[in-house]
Amino acid sequence: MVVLYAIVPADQAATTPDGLRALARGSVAALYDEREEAHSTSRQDLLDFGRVVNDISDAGPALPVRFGTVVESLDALGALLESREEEWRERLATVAGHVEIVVHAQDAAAPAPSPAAPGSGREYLMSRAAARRHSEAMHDDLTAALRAHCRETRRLQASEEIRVACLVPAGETAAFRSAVESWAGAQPGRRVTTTGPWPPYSFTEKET
Amino acid sequence: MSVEHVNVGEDVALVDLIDRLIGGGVVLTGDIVLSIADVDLVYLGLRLVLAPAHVVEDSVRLSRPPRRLEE
Repeated sequence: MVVLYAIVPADQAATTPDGLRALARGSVAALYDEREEAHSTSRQDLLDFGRVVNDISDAGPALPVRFGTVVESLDALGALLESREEEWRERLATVAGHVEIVVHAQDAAAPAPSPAAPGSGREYLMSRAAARRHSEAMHDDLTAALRAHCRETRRLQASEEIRVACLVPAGETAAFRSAVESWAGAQPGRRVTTTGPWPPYSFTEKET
Repeated sequence: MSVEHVNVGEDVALVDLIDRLIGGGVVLTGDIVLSIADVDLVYLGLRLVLAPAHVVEDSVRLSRPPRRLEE
């Protein structure tokens, strides 16, 4: 079976990391590994996969493929590349020269949903709605503050915080982090954490 | 204000990395794509390890079926 790692520009396929092969169709290529068995799903295998994707991204523009993606044959992979070449070429041009930084933001002053108690259904729903409105407003405010420093953003799932992936020019991460600090400092109670730089995991598809 | 920049390898970064490896990236669908089972379990396991102890205890309590008295 064919285990996929990343989609890269066809002219970058020559710099494939050790152990990987490349299959090109038109302007794009897939970096893959042929194995008898797919990845196991241990944490170590996952992190090893991440390390390879990181090396690929360090070498040039790349669209990481989701961990665990396996196709049945090289013919099938070739057909996939042909059918999505245009989409992947556009995405590769977008992420070229950029890295992903994830911003986690919390606000100590945010209204917390009151715990559900017997007979307080309306109050509970209203408190949840208020918390949701606050969260939406904080997300909009954060992305507006960072817009000048990143090409695209994606809101990521999070339960008790705002989590936003930002596509930042690779040479401007310090300015981006300064903008995050300024945003956090604009109001008391805001707590912000950033992680990265990562390969552009969250920007492999056009924003819908 | 509190700002923290986490280096790759620290806990929050590790959770973000694993979340993006499993939840981000190019998604392929169709008959020719074979998916791997149990990926979610890797993620769940890591979440539990990194979560504060009281959260883990709560989630374990919630997921444990009620015991019958005769057991």
